[in-house]
Amino acid sequence: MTQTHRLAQGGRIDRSRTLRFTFDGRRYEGHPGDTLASALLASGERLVGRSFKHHRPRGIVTAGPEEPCALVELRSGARREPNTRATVAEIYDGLEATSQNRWPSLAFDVSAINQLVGRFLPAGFYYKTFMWPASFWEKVYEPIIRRAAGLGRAAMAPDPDEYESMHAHCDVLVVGSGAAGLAAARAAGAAGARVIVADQDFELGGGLLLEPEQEPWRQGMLAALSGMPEVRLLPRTTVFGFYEHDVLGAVERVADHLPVPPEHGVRQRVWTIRARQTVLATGSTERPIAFPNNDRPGVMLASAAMTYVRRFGARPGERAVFFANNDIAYDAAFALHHAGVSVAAIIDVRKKDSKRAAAAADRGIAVKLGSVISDVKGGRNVHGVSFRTANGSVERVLDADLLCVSGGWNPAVHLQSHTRARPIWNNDLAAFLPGKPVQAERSAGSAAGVFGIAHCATDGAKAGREAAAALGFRDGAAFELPAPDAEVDPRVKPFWEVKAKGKAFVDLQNDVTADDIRLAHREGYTHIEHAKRYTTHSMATDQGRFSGILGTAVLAEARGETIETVGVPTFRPYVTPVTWGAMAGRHAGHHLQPVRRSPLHPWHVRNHGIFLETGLWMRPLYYSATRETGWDPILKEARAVRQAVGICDVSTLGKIDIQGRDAGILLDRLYTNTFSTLAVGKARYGLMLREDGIMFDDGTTSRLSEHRYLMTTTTAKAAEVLAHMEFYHQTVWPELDVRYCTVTDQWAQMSVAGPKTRLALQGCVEGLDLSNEAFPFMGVCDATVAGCPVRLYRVSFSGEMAYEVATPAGYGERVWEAILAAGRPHGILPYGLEALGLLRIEKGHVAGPELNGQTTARDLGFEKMLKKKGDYVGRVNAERPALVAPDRPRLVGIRAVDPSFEKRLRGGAHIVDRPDSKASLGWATSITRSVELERWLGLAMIRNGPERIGQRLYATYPLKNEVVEIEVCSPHHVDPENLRVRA
Amino acid sequence: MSAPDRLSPFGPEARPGRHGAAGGSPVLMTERRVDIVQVMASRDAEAAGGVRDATGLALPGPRKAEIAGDAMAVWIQPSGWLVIRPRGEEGALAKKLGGNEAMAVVDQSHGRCVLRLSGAHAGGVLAKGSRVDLHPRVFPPGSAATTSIDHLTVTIVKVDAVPSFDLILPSSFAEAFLDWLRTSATEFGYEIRPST
Repeated sequence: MTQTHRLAQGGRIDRSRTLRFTFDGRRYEGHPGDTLASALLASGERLVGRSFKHHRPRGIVTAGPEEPCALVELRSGARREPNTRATVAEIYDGLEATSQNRWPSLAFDVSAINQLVGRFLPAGFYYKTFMWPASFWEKVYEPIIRRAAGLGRAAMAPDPDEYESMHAHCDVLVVGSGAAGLAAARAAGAAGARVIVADQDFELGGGLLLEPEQEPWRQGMLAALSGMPEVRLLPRTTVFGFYEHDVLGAVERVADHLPVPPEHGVRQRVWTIRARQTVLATGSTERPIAFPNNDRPGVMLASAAMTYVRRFGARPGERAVFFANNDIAYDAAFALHHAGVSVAAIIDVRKKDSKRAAAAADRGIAVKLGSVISDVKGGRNVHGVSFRTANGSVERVLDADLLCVSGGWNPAVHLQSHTRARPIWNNDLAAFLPGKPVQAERSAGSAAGVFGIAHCATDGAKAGREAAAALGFRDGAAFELPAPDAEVDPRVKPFWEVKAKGKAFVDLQNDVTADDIRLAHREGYTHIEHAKRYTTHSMATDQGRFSGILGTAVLAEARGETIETVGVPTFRPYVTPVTWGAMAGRHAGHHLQPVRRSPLHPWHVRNHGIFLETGLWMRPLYYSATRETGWDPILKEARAVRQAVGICDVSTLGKIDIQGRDAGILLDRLYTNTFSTLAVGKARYGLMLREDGIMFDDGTTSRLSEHRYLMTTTTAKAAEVLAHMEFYHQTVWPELDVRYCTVTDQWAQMSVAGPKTRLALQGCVEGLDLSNEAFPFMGVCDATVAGCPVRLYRVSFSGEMAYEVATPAGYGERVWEAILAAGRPHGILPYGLEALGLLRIEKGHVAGPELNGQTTARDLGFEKMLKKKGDYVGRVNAERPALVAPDRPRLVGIRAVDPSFEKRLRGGAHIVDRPDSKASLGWATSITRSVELERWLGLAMIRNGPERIGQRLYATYPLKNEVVEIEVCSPHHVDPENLRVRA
Repeated sequence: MSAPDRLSPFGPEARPGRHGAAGGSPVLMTERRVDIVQVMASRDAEAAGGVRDATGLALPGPRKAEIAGDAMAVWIQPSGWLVIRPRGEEGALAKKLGGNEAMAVVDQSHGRCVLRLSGAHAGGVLAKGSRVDLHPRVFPPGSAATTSIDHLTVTIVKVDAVPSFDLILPSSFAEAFLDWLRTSATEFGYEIRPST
């Protein structure tokens, strides 16, 4: 398509270069500086989309981010992005754009039948229609609604681009780079403040971009700002939210204007800006008027038409009619006239002559005062308008292909509203202005209801100076402001709706008509927030900024109250849509959370560890060069421990170094058992309760010297235990002389276990007598392995003779390899988390499934570890009646009666006394295949469990229709006398 | 006792080399081979005297680091510091500081690691994850902050005006943090230097 509607000259586009793009598969051309909307208009395209509900043809209505109609899909494949506003999308060579919500084509859309049945699709249609019968909800109604819902199609493949987040701090954040914004930034920057200027546009300048005579001033300001080292200019950056404590969010579209981001670059970047002061120079947006068929392609805002002519050198039509209630719209009419567009008439709702009418007459433009547009002719394109006097019945028709509407201006108060500042109604402007600031911000320029370039610049400079002064900066060098404006009268005659036959839209994005608002009122949705939700008015990408106030005006009339009383729906973040990619930033896939690695991790990787994420840690589940699955590698590793010797990485256990005169007292209060009596060089198993008496954590703690202990915690609770200690020490026992910190990462720790452990360790441990007499069970000693310092703890989780060997993390691999080498003649194997679990279940040691936040020490058979003398955390609450009730589920062992492995037990199975019983006696907590007893066995929490030892019961797993006969037994399936650990 | 060389916690990917965007001013990343001791005082003044006698370093106030050549003392919590010196005999620094009843001394030489980030864009890289304002006006050399970067607890010490930052972090996260750092530095280009 050729650029039939491109003006011969003018605009900010670079005519020396041509960019080619497609829309719905057709080829078009544009220039650098064009948006998709301006390039389509320059090629004479009017129809760009179909509306959401009625599938009515829609065109381009605005020239900014509040565009409600020209929503398109950009790009294709994995980069396809729906609901992009054509009015802000920059074109690039090769851009693919596609219209939405139409099938099979934009010009012929089957669902446009909705227009004919439109009166049967009123507000609340879905609520009213899809109610009964309830049996239809899932099978019938939901699929229907799902097909109709949504606009555009998301990409189905993973996004190939990178996104990132960024934190920034500044003294003064200036949002918007029009005359007010640039002047504010310059004033604050000259005073020495650190300044950030953010503007959603790809060119900085706001309204200045429409004023060629202001170009030298704009360029001078930008040059001055660029020369200030503490000023950062962020074009293509939308400030989308104003949050508590002067934190603002912004999204920078770094590479949306390129086919693909440059190498090493990101597509978008989210900024979290902490601003000490903020100047909101967000400008104002023109608003429409509701009248029949005010949504036809060719109806647009007057300011938008002026923007296409002045900034983009594109003619949005050949013969224009204006419909306005204010003087400013006349400037747009004159701009179009000047560009060679025939202006057929200005239909002005005001009865009184204005100075502008004379200026129009000078240009030969007819002005019809006291008149309104009563209808728009045409379907996919405007070809005429009807107008009449305000109360008259005689309609006259004008030929026109463009209707430019101006219902006045709304200062962009949305960011200020996020701070809960209450906007204030202004009668002259018939608009809400920024209210009393709640946070450290001020509004300037037309965002504050000031109109005219010079007035805005003056207001902005004042705001910038004041913001800097509030932070103690003294005024910097003065700078020139634009020449005074021609007289501007921004007052409007409030006018919202022409009542005549036909659909008069108050919300183009969601197809909400003035009648829909009245229907909501009749049905009781009289509050603006209720009317919004009932009609979907003021929702979706424009968030009501385009025409929210029209709905309020219609509702106010229905309620017989003022607009000020009714108010507009609360503005909330986000001001404009932000992609999920930008919000997620780097935190996608494997970068959702950081990976925590044991010092032995590289060894596990090299030696075929199959990993499992446990919290942030990566731990080897088992080792398999062939990556086999199933039980074989696990059973092999577990048998090595029961029959010979195995080595397991337990570096992930939490370790806390505790020092001070009162270290023992602290431990006595944290644990249910006593540690102040522990001998130096010994370890003891301890239990901790929560304040509410429930089991919290367990582990062994060693006494290294008179005033120094080393506590170990479970992997999962390491951070919680440290926080628990800090809490009690800081708030309850601040008098204790004790200091502690985590040393989890300082140590690589490995458990060496099995009947041949001593033989293996004797081959590598130097400087220590490992005999049972010299180094008994629960002993702690220092030694050397392969030249590295080690500490040995004789503790066991597997139930076999075992030593935990700890060495400073940087030596972990060397020590591990040395033990492996020494153990090789004795059949040593490394074992992973699965074998570790198998062994501890056989031994009857509790772990996460038993310490599940519901069990007490008694439930788990630890009543002997609850000391009688002295207090400890959780002691009192653990005695609450329900926690000591005799019929609570208690820990026992269970075994499959059938010794074959055919009928498996599962964790989570319910324990019942008959195969078909529905009354649960408890549940299986941990289940494994036993290498010692060669059958399925495990641990279970069963009512009156210990009294049932010896009984035959059933484990039932209804999800898989499994029932397995079991025998209840002691949890200690292996070595109940605990002889092996002392061997 | 002279122990063998320690394995770097930054993992096998931390080989020296130039990566990311070419040209410009690359961000330099250097693992510092140091000993680190955590000091937790019950009586601050006595502890400060002990540390000064043993190392010559003063214990700085909150959000500050005392830097003397290759050594530094960094405030990390109320009455808590990290004392950092070039790597010596295994355990020697902790031993030297130990035996003072006014403070608990914990060897963290393997539990923490230090990465120096240096270059014109070093602050820009950190800003992608750190909420701390690193501007010279508010964070001059000798400043320290313990903060969250990419879900990790990292202590940032500003060493000089280049700017250079020493980043102190738990060793188990070293590889993950380096991964984050490399990604964040790609747009500027970066160079991993041999550890010093």
